Amino acid sequence: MDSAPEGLDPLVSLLGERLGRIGEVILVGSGKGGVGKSLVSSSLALALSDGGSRVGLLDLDLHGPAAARLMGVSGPLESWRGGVRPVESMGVEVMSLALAVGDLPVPVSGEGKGRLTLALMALTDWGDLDYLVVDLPPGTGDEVMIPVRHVESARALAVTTPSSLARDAVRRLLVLFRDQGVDILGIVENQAYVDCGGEVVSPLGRSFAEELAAEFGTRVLARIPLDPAIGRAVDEGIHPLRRSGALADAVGAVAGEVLGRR
Amino acid sequence: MHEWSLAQGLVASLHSFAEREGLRRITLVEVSVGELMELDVPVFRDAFETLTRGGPADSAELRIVEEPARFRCRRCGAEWTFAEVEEQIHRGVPEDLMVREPGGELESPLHIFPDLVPAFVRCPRCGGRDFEVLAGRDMRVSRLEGER
Ligand SMILES: [Zn+2]
Repeated sequence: MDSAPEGLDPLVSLLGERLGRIGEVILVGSGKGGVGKSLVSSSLALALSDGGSRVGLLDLDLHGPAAARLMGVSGPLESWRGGVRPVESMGVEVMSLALAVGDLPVPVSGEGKGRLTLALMALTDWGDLDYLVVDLPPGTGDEVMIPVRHVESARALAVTTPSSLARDAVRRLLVLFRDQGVDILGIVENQAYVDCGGEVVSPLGRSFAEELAAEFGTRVLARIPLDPAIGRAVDEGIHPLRRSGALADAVGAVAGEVLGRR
Repeated sequence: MHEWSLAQGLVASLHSFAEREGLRRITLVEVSVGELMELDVPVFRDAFETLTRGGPADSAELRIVEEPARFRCRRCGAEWTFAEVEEQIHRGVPEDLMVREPGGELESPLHIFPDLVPAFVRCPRCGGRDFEVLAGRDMRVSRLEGER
C-alpha cells in the first residue's frame, strides 16, 4: 500500500483521545451574544464543581470571551509535554484563546476560526474531567460546527431572553442541534422577570421559552431573573453565582438536570 | 513543547488508519509541516519514536517535509514569506502573552496556534491585519506506506 491518505488529521485524533478522558460535554449556546450565555455556562461550571465534580470550562467565543472573564482568569498560558494547561479558578479548569491573545483583535476568517477551535480543543490538556462545559460563540459558523461535529454524545443547553430577536437566534441553533443529533438538555431563560417585593413583572417582553421547549421536545430548566446583584458582582470582580441567590437557585436546577442525566 | 501532543495525535491517527485499512505494518510516514508552526523536529521525532513503539507504526520511517509559509494581504494585495515577517513573529508578541514552559523558557503562542498570526503580525506593505495564510500553517500526513 502506498498513497496520500484521506481523512487523517492528527488534531482530530488528538481531540478524540482527550474526549476519552471526559465524562460528558455540555454545549451552552444562544445563537446571539448579549443574552447571558457566559453567565449561564460559567455558573453551571461552578455549580457542578461546588457539587464535587471535576469540571472544565472552555470559552470558544474568540471575540468576546466573557466566560473566561467572569471566571477571573488571565494569561499567560503554560505549556508542557501534554499540551496547553487550562488555568484553574475557583475549582474550575478554564481555557480560552483570550489567554493567548489578551485584548488584541484576532481578524481570522471563518475557516481560520474553525481551525483555531479545533486546535484549542485538541491541545488543551484537561486531564480527567467529569464535565466539560463549552461556551459556544454566537452564530452557526465553523467555530460552532467544530464542537458539534467532533464531540459525539454532547448535550446542549440553549440560553435565551424574552425577546423575539433572541428567540429567532436560539431557534436557528436549536434546529442545528436537532438536525446534527445533539441531545438538547433544555432551555434557560435569562433576564426573565423582575421580582418587585413579591410582584413579578417581565420588563423585556413576552417569554418564548415554553413555545421553543414544546417545538423541540425539551423543557425550560430555569428562568433567571434580572437581579441587580448580578451586575454589581461582575463590576466587583466576583462571580455572580456567589452574590445572587436567585441565580444560584436557577443554576442549581440546571446542574441537577445535568447530574440526573448521567 | 506541544510537539509531544502533536506526535500523540499523529500516532493515534495512524493507529486508527491502520485498523480501518487492515494494515499490519506502517513503514513510512511523510508529514508536511507548516513553516509557521516552527516545529522542534528533534523533539517531535523523539516523541514519534517513543509513542509508536509496540504498535503498527513501530520503526516506521518518519519523513518531515517543511512547507514554506506564504501570506497575502486582503487590503493591498501584497504577498510575502515567513522570512519577511520573522522579526514580527519573534518579537511582536508582548512579553505577558508569551507561553511559559516547565523549565521557565518562553514560547510564542503562534508556535501552538499558528492561526492567531493576524493578532501579532501586520502586512509589511500597508500595516493591515487582514491577510490570508496561503500555505505553511498546519501539519498534514502527505504520504503513507505500509503492508497488509
Ligand atoms: Zn497590505
